[in-house]
Amino acid sequence: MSINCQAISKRFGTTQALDNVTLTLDPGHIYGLLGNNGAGKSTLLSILTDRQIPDEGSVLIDGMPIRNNDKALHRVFLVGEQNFFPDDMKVFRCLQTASYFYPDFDLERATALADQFGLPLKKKIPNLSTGYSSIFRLVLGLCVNTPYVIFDEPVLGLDAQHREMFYRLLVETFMGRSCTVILSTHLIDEVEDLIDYTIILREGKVLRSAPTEELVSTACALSGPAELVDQFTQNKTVLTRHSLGGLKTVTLKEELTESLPEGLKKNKMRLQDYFIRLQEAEDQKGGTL
Amino acid sequence: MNIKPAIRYQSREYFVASLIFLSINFLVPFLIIISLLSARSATETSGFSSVSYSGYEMACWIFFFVFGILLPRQATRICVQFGVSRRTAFLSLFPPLFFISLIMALAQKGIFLILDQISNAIHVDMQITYLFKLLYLDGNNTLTLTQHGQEILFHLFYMIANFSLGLFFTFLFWRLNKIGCIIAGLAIPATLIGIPFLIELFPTAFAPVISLAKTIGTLSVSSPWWAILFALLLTLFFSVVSWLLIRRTNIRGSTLTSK
Repeated sequence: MSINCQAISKRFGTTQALDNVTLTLDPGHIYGLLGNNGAGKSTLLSILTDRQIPDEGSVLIDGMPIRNNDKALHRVFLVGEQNFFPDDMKVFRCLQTASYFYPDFDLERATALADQFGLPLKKKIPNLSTGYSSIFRLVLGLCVNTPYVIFDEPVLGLDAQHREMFYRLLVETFMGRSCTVILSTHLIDEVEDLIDYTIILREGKVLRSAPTEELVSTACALSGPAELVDQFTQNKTVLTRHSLGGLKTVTLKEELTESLPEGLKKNKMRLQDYFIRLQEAEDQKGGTL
Repeated sequence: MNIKPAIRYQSREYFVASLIFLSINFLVPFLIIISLLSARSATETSGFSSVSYSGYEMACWIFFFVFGILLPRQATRICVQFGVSRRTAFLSLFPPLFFISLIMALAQKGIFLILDQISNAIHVDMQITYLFKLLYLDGNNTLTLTQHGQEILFHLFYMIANFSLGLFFTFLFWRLNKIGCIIAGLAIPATLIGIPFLIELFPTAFAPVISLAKTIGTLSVSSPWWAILFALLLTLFFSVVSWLLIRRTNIRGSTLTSK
């Protein structure tokens, strides 16, 4: 029982959006799908839900190919950025329609969440603001009760309070029933404590795919006076360096176990830092994290 | 197959639009009669007054053509959003289409019958003209049961054929990229306008086409069953081509959610 992507490739004109992507998304995890702009995240998610057809490769959901397969497609729900609803459709009518398509859709919870977020039920969907449009889609995703739920940039335009509300509700939903969540977002710092498995895409390829804890433990950040840092890291593999005045921060490709000289400070790698350093290392010639 | 909710959703869309259309088509002839009666009483003339009413059939066909352009993309998008495969979404277009077309065909009969009765009762000579009558009835207003059935089927299948033509155009332009859309947008009217000119200029080269068109035309005019068959073949052709277009199209949203 999982989502299997096998050698997915997709090209748009001269741009290779996805290049031989092979992934397995096992049940019972909250996956973070990370990547810079243009990395191929949204394309991959569209292919997982048969909105786009890959040039090569296939997708299986719980062992079933998704092409023209209602049973497989019914097990996954994508909360995407694009609007797939008619221009004249109101919010409540859409929630009602969702309950026709998904017998497990919790309409009562959806209206309660709409009330909690302040989402106007009688408003037409295209007339919602950016924030409320995101909220509307989040409500759908939180109440649809499919085994796999995908959120693509779910908190676009949301204020801090509503973002925090969404994350809390997401955890409640995940803990309340057996499901798999895939979260694609640029706000890595906010979701770090939620996602237990991280997939990083870069230029259409899978750069890293591992438990989050495992990823961040493969590196550490060291900061202190520049001279001291340089002296200490002479024989170590330094991946990135950042200087600010007389202070320097370096990323090391190892977990430091020895004691540090006075003045130097070791910082545990945050996922966002890890991601940024990884991208920087990839940008530099021959670098890898 | 998750087709039932898709059919349910689309039935509502078909029904609402068709109801509005029918209401207007029901009102128009009555307004004509009422205005005629008002004018007659104002000028105190007596005896028969004459009015003709035509174009209902064509209006329905154009309505379904436009419907075929507008509904399928919206229906496909919402089906894809709600976990329905594009094949099921495509197939779900047809059952409510058939049902609504049948209602519209029966409604045509009903409207004409009611107008006939009212116009007779108030001594207004109402000439109701429609294509089936012009082609197959030779001015005969008393139809056999078979002719009634033929009339309904003729109207029904040409509405469906027009829908499938609209379906073809909407999926064609959805499949094409921007440049393809521009080329198609120019090429289609140019071809439609240009082909008759070319046929007239080079009749020998186009002899097979002329012969085929004559055969189809002659058969269609000779018997409504041939016309109905032709409508079915058109529906089948455009539907199959439409499926071939949509089966690998990237399903995009109508707008980005942010305004």
